Parts: sequence; structure tokens; C-alpha cells
Amino acid sequence: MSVEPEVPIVQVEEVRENPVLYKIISSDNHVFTISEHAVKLSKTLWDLITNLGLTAENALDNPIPVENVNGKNMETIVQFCERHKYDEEEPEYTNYIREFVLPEWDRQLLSIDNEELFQLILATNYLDIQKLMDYCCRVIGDMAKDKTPEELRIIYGIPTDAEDDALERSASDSPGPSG
Amino acid sequence: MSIPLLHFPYVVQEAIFKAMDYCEVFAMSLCSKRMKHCAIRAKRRVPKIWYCWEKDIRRISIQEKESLPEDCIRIDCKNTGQNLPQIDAALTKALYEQVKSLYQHKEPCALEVHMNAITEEVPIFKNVNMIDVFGESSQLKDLETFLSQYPKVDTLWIRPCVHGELSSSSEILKMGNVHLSNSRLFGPSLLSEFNGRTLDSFNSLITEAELNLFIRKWMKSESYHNLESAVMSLARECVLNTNLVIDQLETEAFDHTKQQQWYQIDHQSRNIVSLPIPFNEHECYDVVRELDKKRASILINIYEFRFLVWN
Repeated sequence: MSVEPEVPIVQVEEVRENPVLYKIISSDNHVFTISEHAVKLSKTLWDLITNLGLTAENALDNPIPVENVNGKNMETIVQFCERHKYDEEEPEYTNYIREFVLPEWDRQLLSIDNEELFQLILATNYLDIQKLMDYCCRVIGDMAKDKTPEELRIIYGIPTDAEDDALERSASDSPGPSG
Repeated sequence: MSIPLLHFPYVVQEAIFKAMDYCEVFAMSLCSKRMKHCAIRAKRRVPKIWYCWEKDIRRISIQEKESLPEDCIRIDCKNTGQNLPQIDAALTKALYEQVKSLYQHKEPCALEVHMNAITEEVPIFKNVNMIDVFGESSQLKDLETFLSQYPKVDTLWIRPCVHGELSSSSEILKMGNVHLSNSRLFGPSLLSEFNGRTLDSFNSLITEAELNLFIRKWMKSESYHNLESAVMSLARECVLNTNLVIDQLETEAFDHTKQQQWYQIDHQSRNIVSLPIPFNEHECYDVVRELDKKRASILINIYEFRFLVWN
């Protein structure tokens, strides 16, 4: 199955000035096209491209399979990378992650249910996209605002000490792998 | 569905904790032992922890460099209706230990205490090097009793006006840096005996003769061997005659080619931003210490007296 993602306007400019495009295949066989500037935001993908020796001439003939990321998450990731491909590098300081203002476009992009957000973060971590990771973690961190420990336990699925102890006991009681 | 934070890889958990405010990390650490361990592993390091002790209010704040402290936890018994004194010892100790372990804090911390609670049984916080006392007014004997419990304190801020006679064995005289927000007559009294490095006092009532004696003693090395700066911001009713302050002292004109014209004092306070102090030839004089030829600049105008020893 092949689904072409919605092409952001910025990508048109990209094609004009820089024709290098890469194809990525998600775990569920969706195919995505991403520009060189955008794909560079993912350290994992860019390392892969470099190691495979993909060039402007052969990039589109050699799609890159990414088995750990499904089509839905890949679509979000491609949109994000295309949107931020020309961003300047973020300043590095201790409290950057809790002090930057999350842009509205990105807040909208990340307004997804918790299950999707969880999967998106795992995908982002695998693809090593620092900026998207900062934004996702900020969204998750913001969920803790003005909450009591009881509320936090529900939001983040935190077991109580008693539940953790019970889990540990049952794990130690269960027989190990035989043979 | 909840977002299972504990199922994230460690690097993601660490980034999430870094995206939270201190009070949120603290609340997270109270959820379970496992979560507390995760918060500790995230290695949020803090430069300064403030313990704040006020009647019916307890706070623990965290101060980053060059920013105002941020409350990590605040318990206000007036609003919650809890009877804090009954659970005081256990609660205070638990909060203290939780914060200390959470941030693996080993640096000296600071204590902010209100005069309305200073005579209560304030627990001894360990490794305190800075104390900020606030409130309406303060009896020196209460302050002395309190300070005697903290021999390692080097920086002291006293916001209220202090009433009482200073003795040569006073705890305040053991401090390196003292700041008086409402000095009145106590500031000049402290200046006459001061052994520390910096003394700032606002709203002071001082005379020309007292300042003249202070400068003379410094020049003759009779006292103030460690002094780096002394500042007396004057009370409205205190009007100084500059000529009387430097009367019969051997002074030199301030030379901006030899000395820098701006000097920055680090107040190290939780809520005061230090502004650079200008020195200029119109209001400044230089004096030289006879023994080691060390130079100091004096700035006098209708608002203040500043004495700065140059290195």
C-alpha cells in the first residue's frame, strides 16, 4: 500500500532550490517523500543515508525501510521535519526545555491522544529527532501543571508502592524459563 | 488512556523531568518510590535551595543562577486549616530530606526566616551559609540566639529594623557579608565594629564624624582589614556635609584613568538584582592605606556613602 503524504508548501520551494528527495517506507508499508534538509533533523535517518551512500541520483530509487515506525507516526514526523527544516539551531542552556514557547502549529500537531503521543515519542526517540523530542516532552511535562500526586498517578499511569511490590512479588514467584 | 511515563526509555524520562517545573518534579516524586527513583535519576541539579520558615507557612524554593527562586513546595496552614505545629518536626524533616535526596544537593543552602517565627523552635537546617531575616522589627537578642545555631553562615540579610545594643561578641560581627534593609542607627553601630568583607545598609542615620572615624581607622589599619566595600544609603532626614566627612583626611581626587568607573557588587540575594555602581570624579575621593598602600574610593552624595577598596 502506498500513501503519499500531504506535501507542505515549503516542500515546493525545496524542490525548486534543492531537488534531493528521499523515500521512506514505514513499518506498515506507507511510502513518504522527504527533502534532504528535513531528513537531516533525524540523526538516525541521516546516518543511514550517509552509510548507504545515497545520492541525489539514486535516492528515490532506494527507499529506506523504517521498521520501528508506523505510517501514522511517520506522517507526523515528516510534517514536523519539513516545517522545521530551515530553523536555526536552538540555544543550549540548562532550562531550555521548560522555558521555550511551544509554537501553536506544533501544539496543534501534537494535540493527539495519549496512546498516539506515546508511540510518537518512541518513534522520535528511535529516529533521534532532538527538536521533536523536546517538543513532545514539553507537552507531556505540561500535563503535570497544578496537579496533585494522586492526579499525576492517573495521568502518567504510575502504580502505587503496594502495586509495585505486588508486581515484583509475582515476578519473583513465577517460574523462570524452563530448559 | 494514561501516558505510561515509566514505560519510556530512560533518556525520554529524563527529558520529561527536565521539562517540568521544580514543584511538579517534587509532586511526581511523592507518587511512589519508583517514581522518586526516576526523578533522582533524571539528575536535575540545583545551585541553591532556600528553606523558608514563617509562622504558619513553610516553603522550599530553588534558585537558579541569576533568577528568582521558584517554590518547590509551599504549605500555608492559614489557608489549608491544618494544624502545622503538631506535625511540624516530622513534616519539616520529611520535606527537607525529600528535596535534598531528589536533587542530590550537597552545596550549602539558604534559610529565610520571619521574625514572627524566630523565637519558635525552628529546626536546625544543616549546611546553611546564608540567612535572610524578614519581618517588621527585630530584637537583637532574639536574632543573636537564632544566629548562634548557624556558625557557618557567612552572608546575612536583615530586612527589619534591629533594636538593641551591639556587643563585641555579637554573632553578626562573625559574618562576612551583611545587608541591612532598614538600618537606621543599627547600621552605623555595626559599621564601627565590622570585621567582614561587605556591609550594605539602607535607610541609615549616620553622622559625618562616624564616617570620618571609619575612614581614618581604615587608612591607619586600626580596623577593617578584610573590608571590600561598605555602603550606607542614607535616611531622608540624614543630610551629610561632605567636607566634614573627609575633614583632615589625606584624600586624592578620583582618577578615572587609574580606576574603573563602574563596580558591580554581588548581593547574592534571593530577590535583589545588583546594579553596577558608578564612580566619577565629581563625587569621589580616593584614600590610601598607609601600611600596604591599598587604595579605596569614597563616593558621597545626598543619597549615600560608598566605600570601595580596590584590589
